[in-house]
Amino acid sequence: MIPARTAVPPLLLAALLLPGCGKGEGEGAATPPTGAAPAAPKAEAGQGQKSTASAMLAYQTGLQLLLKGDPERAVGEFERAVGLDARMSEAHYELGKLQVHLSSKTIGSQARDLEILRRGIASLEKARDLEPANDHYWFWIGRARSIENDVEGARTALSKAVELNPRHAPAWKALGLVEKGAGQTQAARDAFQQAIQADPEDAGAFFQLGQTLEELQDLENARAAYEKSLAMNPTEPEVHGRLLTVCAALGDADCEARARAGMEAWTEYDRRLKLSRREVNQNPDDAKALRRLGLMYFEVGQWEEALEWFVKSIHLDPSDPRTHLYCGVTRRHLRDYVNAANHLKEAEFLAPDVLDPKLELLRLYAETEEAPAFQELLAKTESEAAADGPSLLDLGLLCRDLARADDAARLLEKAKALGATPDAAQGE
Amino acid sequence: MLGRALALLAPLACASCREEPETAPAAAPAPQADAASPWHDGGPYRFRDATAESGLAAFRQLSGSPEKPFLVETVGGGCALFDLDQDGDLDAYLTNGGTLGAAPGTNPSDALFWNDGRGRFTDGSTAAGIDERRWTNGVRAGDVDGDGWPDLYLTNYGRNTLYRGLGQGRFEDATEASGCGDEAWSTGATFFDFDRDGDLDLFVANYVAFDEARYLAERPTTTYQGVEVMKGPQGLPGAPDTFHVNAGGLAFVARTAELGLGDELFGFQSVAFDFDLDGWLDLFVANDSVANNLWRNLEGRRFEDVALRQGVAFSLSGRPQAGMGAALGDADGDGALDLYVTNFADDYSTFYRGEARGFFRDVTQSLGLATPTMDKLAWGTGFEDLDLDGDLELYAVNGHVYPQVDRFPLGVEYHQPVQLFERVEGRWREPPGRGGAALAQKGAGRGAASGDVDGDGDLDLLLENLDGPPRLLVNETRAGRALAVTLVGAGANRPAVGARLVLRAGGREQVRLAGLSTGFLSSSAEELVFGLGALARAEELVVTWPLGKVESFTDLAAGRVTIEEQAGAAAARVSRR
Repeated sequence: MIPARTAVPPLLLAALLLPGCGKGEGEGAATPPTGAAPAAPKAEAGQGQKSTASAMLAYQTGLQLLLKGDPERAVGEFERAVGLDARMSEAHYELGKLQVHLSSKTIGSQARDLEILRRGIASLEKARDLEPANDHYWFWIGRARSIENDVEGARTALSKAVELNPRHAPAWKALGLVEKGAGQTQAARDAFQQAIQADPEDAGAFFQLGQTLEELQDLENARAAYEKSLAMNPTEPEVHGRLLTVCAALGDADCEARARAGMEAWTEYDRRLKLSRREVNQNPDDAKALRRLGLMYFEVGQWEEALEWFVKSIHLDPSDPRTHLYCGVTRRHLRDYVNAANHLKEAEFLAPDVLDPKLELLRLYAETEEAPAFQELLAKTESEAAADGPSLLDLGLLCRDLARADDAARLLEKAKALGATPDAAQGE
Repeated sequence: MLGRALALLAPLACASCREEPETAPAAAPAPQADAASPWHDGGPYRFRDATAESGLAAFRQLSGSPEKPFLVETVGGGCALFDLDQDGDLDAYLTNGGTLGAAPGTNPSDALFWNDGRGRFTDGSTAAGIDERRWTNGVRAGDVDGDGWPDLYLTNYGRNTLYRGLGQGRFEDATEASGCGDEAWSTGATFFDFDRDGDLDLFVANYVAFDEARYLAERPTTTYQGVEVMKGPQGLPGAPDTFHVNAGGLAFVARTAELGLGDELFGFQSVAFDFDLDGWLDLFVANDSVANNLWRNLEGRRFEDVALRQGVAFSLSGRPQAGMGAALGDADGDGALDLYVTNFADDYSTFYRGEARGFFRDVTQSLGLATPTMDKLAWGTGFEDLDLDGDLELYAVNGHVYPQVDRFPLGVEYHQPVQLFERVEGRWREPPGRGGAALAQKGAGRGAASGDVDGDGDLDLLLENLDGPPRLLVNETRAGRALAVTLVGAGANRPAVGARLVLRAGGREQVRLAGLSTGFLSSSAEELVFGLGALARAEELVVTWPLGKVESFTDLAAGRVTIEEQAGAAAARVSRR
């Protein structure tokens, strides 16, 4: 979610920090100079400025820690931020969201630590009180209230969120889920339809809409909703299963058979995904388990989900070249080219004798049209692999994929001279 | 030389197999019923805890150690209410567990209690010849061989036991001769006539292939919400279900594979009913953690699983749930049978509404049952007309499997209260008073059986708890009149399992099925109770007997009747009790 106020740019942040140099900002804010009553307004203004700057620094640090996958330390930074500047709604908001996340230790579980959850709600409500027109804040309050099973609280907050921003698809979807949970099936259907209007690419919203339509006995439209959901994301066997049941009820044997085939095809993947999630639940500090879970999403092109687990894995073990490689490829798919390059370079640094990071960097440079970088890396790699037929072959095939005919011809010729051909590689 | 690629992923790490820490057993909390409690006796339903005065408190169920480090210790057992000596009142059978690894014959026995007709029970196990020291999970009571005396089939962790009723409340172990002493870890058994040959066949749901020696040594664990707990059933191998065809009397022949059965799916409760109304009894099996089964009976030749197609394999969101127990009844009065499946905590127990052509639809959320069942781990359940007003209420017996949950703020408790739901304006809710102050007491509840224990005409509840005495909840709701019907079949199927009864009274129809094995590993009384409210008489009762014969009985006064089917075209004999 994007907070209402954007973060302060780094240069401005540095300027704000200057008055605080040389002294602990937190101490200065908490302990005003004694016996300086006449100068208080000026001193307080100065202290306030320092506090704000320090708060902003803590807030930024918290965000960085979140990006690195260290939520516990991020909580500490956000708490420091709101302690330094109680009017910093962004920090209250990030703290609240994080506490809501942390109230569950287990992926996918509905069980929560209510104490942490309620602390999260309190933080979100502070943010909301400071900026009552911020739809994101209302959305998160609604989401947290829903987790708390406070149906009325959730409904009120989410309704306010969509009133402030009728295009807030996640808020519509969350409102639909609240109404569905409360047994208000028609209201749920309407909310899911609004969610889809706001974000027609949300496969999950179509799945939820299908369920409410099923409950309302509108089976033809339920089938259409499930089919749309599957067209966007075919990996969920649950959706195939619902489609199968609806098709059976409609007496459409062809549709039933297609749905059954789809379900069977994705059930094995789902089983492996669940095993992987369980492994992470059981060993949340096992970097390899986190990477394996990321790879499950990577396998089916769910890049956002894959990235989440790769980032967490890197936080636990930053020296594993494989995770940097996968993270780099994932970020390339997400068009986050700068960070993709950083991860691929890190993978190359950690595993200098391995070809894959180099191949992926070349692919990245080609995609971002960085010709000099591409040529430099290609030449370097070609030189390193001068006596390595299979590596030259892979380089050649990559160049062919990237429509670099001259490079491809040269490399494939060299590979062939060393006995490596595409046919031989296939045979291997 | 450059390496071609980074190494492939390492094999998945094996599940953690650490030693379970020994900690002090958690004490069961005392009943909590203060002035602000939602449980009170001022509501429309009222149950009184009559355990102590009934004499049933003398029984103690034992289920391993308090920390429950093994799956076997968490399942618990069921109970039965049945008239063992045919004297007109309901006697009780209570299953017992033991200690894992104990020497054969050293675990405590199950117990059989005689009812004096007023709800006072005496342990008559020894006199009856009951000495079952295997770890018993389930009990099915009924006249299996058609000799007029009820028999008992016990599903055990270990060999199952068939006790043949000899009459006058005595039993003999007929397991070896019967051929149905299944050695697997068995749970929900169902007797029904699958091939319409007039006798009762036997389906046995099996749970987990539990390698006792290995698990006792390894003590496998997993994590639940970050807390280390015993492992299972997921991660352990399932045990294949079995089917035994009746070869006459109490002799059975296993024919599981040739009938298309034998899934290894952590089976719990099994319920036989004709979901598609084609005259052949089908079979629903609630499976733990995986898809449920709905085995369609292909005219006695074979079964095929149509659970997914018919809508009962998963919840509405398409996910498998942890099916434990099952209730079946026409809960909304539309003539179609509805199915309620109890599930694990962090998930709701599921109401599958019966629809046209045998389809079911999960409508739990729209009926208001999702939220109140989400933090409960539910087992025994049933649709019964507890206030005898002509529509069905729903009850659920709850209790968690991990004692460890009480030591962490997870939003769930190990000991949980029984829940009662009533249907108001099309939605279900916990009624004011929640069934009375007695229901505030929390326990590690498992099985439950319903029946008129005290002979006052309404339905009472007998509950089996883990590691403690059972609970007898006597119904003191201000109830209406009732018509209680006992069917007696003409052939070997004397309990008339599979018969369908439709009562017309006061402009509405009520449906009951005879011999249903609903609930959780338990046997409710065979007598079928219809609520008449203020009415003194029912207009008509239509009975469709198991083999298709249909008979109508008109102008039936409230009270208790026995209807005995006659061979051929002869009309049934109706007698009052």
